[in-house]
Amino acid sequence: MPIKSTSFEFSQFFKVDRLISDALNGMFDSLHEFVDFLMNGESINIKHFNSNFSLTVSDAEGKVLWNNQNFSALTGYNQHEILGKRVRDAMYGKKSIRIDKNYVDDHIKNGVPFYFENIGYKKSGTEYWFGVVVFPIHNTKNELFGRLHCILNITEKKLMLLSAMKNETVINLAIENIDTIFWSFEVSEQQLVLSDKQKGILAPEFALNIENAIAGIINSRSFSVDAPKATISNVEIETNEPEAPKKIFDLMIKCIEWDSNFKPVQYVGALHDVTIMNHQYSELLEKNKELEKLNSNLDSFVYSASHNLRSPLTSIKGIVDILLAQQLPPDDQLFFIKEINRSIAKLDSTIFDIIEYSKNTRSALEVAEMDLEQIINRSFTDNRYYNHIAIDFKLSLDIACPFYTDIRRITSVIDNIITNAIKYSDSGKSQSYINIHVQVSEQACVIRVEDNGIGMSEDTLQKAFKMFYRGTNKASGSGLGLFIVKETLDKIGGTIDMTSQLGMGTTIVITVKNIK
Amino acid sequence: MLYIFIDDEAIFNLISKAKLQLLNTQTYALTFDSGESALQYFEDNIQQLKHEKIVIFLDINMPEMNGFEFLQEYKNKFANVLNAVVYMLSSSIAEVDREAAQQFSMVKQFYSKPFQVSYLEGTGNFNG
Repeated sequence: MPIKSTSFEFSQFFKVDRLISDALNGMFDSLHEFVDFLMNGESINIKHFNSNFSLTVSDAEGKVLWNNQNFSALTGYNQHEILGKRVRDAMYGKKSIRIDKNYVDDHIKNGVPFYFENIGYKKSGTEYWFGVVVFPIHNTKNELFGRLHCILNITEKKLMLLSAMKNETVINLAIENIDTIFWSFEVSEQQLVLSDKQKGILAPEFALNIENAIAGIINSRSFSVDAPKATISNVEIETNEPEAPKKIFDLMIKCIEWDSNFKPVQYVGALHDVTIMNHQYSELLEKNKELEKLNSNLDSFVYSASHNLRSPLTSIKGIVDILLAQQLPPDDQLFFIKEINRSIAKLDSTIFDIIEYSKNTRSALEVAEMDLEQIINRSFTDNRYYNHIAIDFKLSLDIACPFYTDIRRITSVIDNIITNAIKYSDSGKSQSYINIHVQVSEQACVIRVEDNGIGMSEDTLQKAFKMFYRGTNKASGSGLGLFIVKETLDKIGGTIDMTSQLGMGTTIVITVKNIK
Repeated sequence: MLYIFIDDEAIFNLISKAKLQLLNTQTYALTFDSGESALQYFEDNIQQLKHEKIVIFLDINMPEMNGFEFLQEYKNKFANVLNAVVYMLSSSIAEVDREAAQQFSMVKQFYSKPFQVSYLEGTGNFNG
């Protein structure tokens, strides 16, 4: 044997480059046979060797002694240009990695082939990737004779791999940044496997709830080969988080494996968190409803407001016409001037109500602790002589805890209700009264206002909360009072309930949420 | 000729009546503060009113019974019996109110408040 027999099991390179080892493995019994083949290729039967390899044999100093046509084709240098140079001179360029010399020398010295990949440059400058196995060759005296380079152009494969790696990075990034849980489900195990990322994040109880929910849905449905997929919207899963006790998901299921009886074996799928989206959607619906209401309110507002604002003005105009046209006695003049004054007061009160309404619609809630006793007493005291009737006023309180709400709004509501009770008191009754009972609990405040005033007919009661509706011409309201009360209560989470009988009196029950 | 003013706000009736009397102190005018009370008056005095030419100045925006509800009631009960024309007299400047008023054949004109004596021009034409 002229050349040392070196272990020649290519499978040890399997992991580094399957393509090369597949091509070479099993074709030669020993390295020297392989080198023999290379050195005297023409005389050996090479029909089995479908070589895409570019081959060079260099001496101990690395200078090329021989190369095949493939190598010339790969590098673009002809044989004359290559011979006597080092292999790297025909291959390396700007971006080529300089292989650690010690690493190379160690392998060569020990007679161990090695593999690496690098960027090469053709004579024309074109860049390519190559993989190379370097075999040390020894002579019969066991001295290092030289090296064999067995080179393959791996540009295409390398670029694919790089692009796949890039894609994988993109996909991983995507998975990490979307609220989607990927899972697989083994029917026989009834066990859900979640993608790595979610394992760390989800609370164990939540993960278990997810598993139960998905298993429940999978087991209750059939997924055939023809219809392997399903998407289920709005799957609610409990989270064990007090802040967000439930999350809502869109669940995508796909069966990917069936047994010989077409029974599903394995499922994969995605669970997409739509909690926030759903929340935003319902918020949007609510906003939309609010807008529609505002819009229709605006229409009837413009209609009614223009009338209510014009009416006192036209009355003033009419009076002024008369005063200008006629020399009236002073008493009559005074009468008309008082009427002008009344119209001005009415106009002012309508404008005040409109501003009040606008304030309620626009301004934010300002929650504070309420002193209802003070608010109610002051409201009654301020308005008690409106009708020039003595009214028996009783206030009873049942207050279990502090009451929190928006002070400006609740005061406006209470003022309106108490003023109404006073305005519409019945002078025909021997003793007018207003009884108010207040009850405050952790949840709500209930204010009950009962009077024995003139009351309302069924018809008036129905329309009482409409914008600009006036039940009677006995009082000179703007027709906005109860409308504003209703709107204001809507804002602070309150309701109003009104019962009345014409001639008997009215009872109003207001319930307002305790915003603690 | 009988002039009738229907308005829930007393001051308007007063103004209208005063202006009418500025023109002619002999003119006879009645005022009502609601549609119901006017209808009641027609009901109670139907025999005398049959031979009278009646000119009604009617407000639209009134509580309980508004101007249009009054017109409907009048049409149902008295249109064939009494000889009346109606002039709408309103603070409303809304087109919808004008259009609604035109649905009633006895409505001759749509006037803006306050009442002006010029509104009386042509009130003698009873062709409705």
